[in-house]
Amino acid sequence: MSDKLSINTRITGEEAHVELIGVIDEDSTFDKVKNLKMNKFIFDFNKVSMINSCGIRGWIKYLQEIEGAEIKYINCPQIIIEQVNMVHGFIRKGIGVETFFAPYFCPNCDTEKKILLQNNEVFNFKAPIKQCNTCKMDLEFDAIEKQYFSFRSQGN
Amino acid sequence: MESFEFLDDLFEPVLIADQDESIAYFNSSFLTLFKTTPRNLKKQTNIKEYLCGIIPEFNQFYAELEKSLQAVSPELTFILESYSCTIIVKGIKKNSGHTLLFFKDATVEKQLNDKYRAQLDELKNTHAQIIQSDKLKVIGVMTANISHEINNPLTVAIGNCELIEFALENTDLNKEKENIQKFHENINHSLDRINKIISNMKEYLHKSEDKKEYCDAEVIIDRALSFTQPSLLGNPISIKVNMVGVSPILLVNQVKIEQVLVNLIQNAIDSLKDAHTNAPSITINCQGDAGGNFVHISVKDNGPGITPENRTKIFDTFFTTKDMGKGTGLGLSISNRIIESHQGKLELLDSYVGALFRITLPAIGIAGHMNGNWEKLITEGDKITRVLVVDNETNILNLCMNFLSDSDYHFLGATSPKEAFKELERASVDMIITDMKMPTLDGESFIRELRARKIMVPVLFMTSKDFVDKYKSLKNELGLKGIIIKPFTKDELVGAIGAAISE
Repeated sequence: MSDKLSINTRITGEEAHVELIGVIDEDSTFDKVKNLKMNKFIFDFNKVSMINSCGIRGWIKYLQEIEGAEIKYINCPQIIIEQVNMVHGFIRKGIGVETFFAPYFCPNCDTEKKILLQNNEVFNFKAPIKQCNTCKMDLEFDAIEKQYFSFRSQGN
Repeated sequence: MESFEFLDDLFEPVLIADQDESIAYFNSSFLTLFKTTPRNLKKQTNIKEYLCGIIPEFNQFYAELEKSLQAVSPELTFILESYSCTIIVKGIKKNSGHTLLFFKDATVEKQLNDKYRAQLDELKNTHAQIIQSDKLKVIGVMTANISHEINNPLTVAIGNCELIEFALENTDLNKEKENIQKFHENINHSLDRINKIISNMKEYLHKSEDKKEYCDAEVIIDRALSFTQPSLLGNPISIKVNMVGVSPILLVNQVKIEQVLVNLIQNAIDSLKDAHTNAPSITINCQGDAGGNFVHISVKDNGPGITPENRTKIFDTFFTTKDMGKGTGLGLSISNRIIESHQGKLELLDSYVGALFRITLPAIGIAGHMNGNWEKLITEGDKITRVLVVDNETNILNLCMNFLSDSDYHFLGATSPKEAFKELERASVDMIITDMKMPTLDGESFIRELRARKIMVPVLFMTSKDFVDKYKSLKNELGLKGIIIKPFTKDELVGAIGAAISE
């Protein structure tokens, strides 16, 4: 395993909760979570600081090893969503993105926010309305909605 | 923005400017690449100023774009949020006044390239160190033997010094003059011999460049034997060399092939010594294959041979059958790599008794094609001028090869007209340079034979001044393009070929 990426695994019943921390790139290996023979995987990407196209390819290859298992992605940061939108295969059939971060902006506080969204909050590529936790004013979505949410059509 | 919506789904980052250089369109990939947001981009009034603020060398690219209306940048590197990014930009100025900028994100490609290049360099260094350590091992084994070699001439030199001292004691030195001269000659001869032994060792130890030269196979075998000869002292091992036919000329790194042969011969000696074989012997065979494409050199001993379970491991790195401290297990694996780097093969063949190793190397025709500037051959293909030099002296072939190595010509060598004809069957040649005096068939007869076979390749003579008249008399009849007088310089050789080709 690359020292740039660490993987924490917690297994309960038939479910593996896998937390990825650090950089996913050409040096990343996922041996630690191969052959776990679990029926369900939950991958938490919250602490992934960087992912590049080589890392995505490695991840897609890893997914083939756990084909058949139910897979959920949670806490996907913006860098993951941007890569997923560019390299297909990260979300294959049967994989659901349960929660992910989206960029928002508070014009009142002049602050950028990363808001964790539930997948089912997004309809027709429209960002849900969110309020600033400081001033309680409505936030503006800070990306191109149609393109940012395009990953949601993958894996269907 | 709406009119450019069809670009939304492009993976490549795109930025479009209006005539006044304000931003007319950008896609999501652009935001990702520049780690920005639509909100921030709306604040930008001029794309040139915006991008120049991020990419230090964007100004030069944009100036070129304004001048030529279409431009592709070299790799541009800049730092964003403490990450180094590398991009290539293609820009087009449209008649509509729009400026289209397409970005290729080469960051990962560049990082991988830099990383793997560094790793490759590291591997090459390690490989060179391993080869060097094998050399040191061989030298270590032989140092004791060679010190014996040096002792003999040294004893002679010391003895002759003493004799001179005695002679000098004679009151009538004129009577001793002849003797003193003889003793002096003996000393000189002995010191020369010591110098030669040390030079050979130094050359073997330090010569590491990968340069190939034309060498006589017999010379290589003799030199390898001279290195291993001292190991035989006090042992009844006999060594026989069978040279089948004329000794072949090889295009190889002589020192490295010697290293391989030393390894094979030394292994055979060690094996015979350890096994106390009755009438121990080593046979070295050297011959070309029937087709003239390869040269085989084999080393065979009549020792205990290699057990079936060891046969598959024998070329593995660090595998050794020798006692602890005697073998590193590197010799055969390095030898294998050396032969492979010559596009050859090192094999352990089946034999009735003992071990039989065979080196197969490409004969000079094939080796010549594989030598030289491959990159140029691949990129320029048929545009390359192939020059075949025919000379029985390997020194001349090496000189021509060196002179032409960084020229526009691809050098091919042949040591005889027979080899040259073989070469002409194998590939097209644009120019032939031939020596006049050669043992089997002279230059004139060679060219007559060429013309008789309707091979009308331009020919240059390469010979001494003595043959100028001959050249003049044959020039028109045989269609000779010129003469290169030995000795010649690089400029003279390259110039003569250039002049003949342009004619």
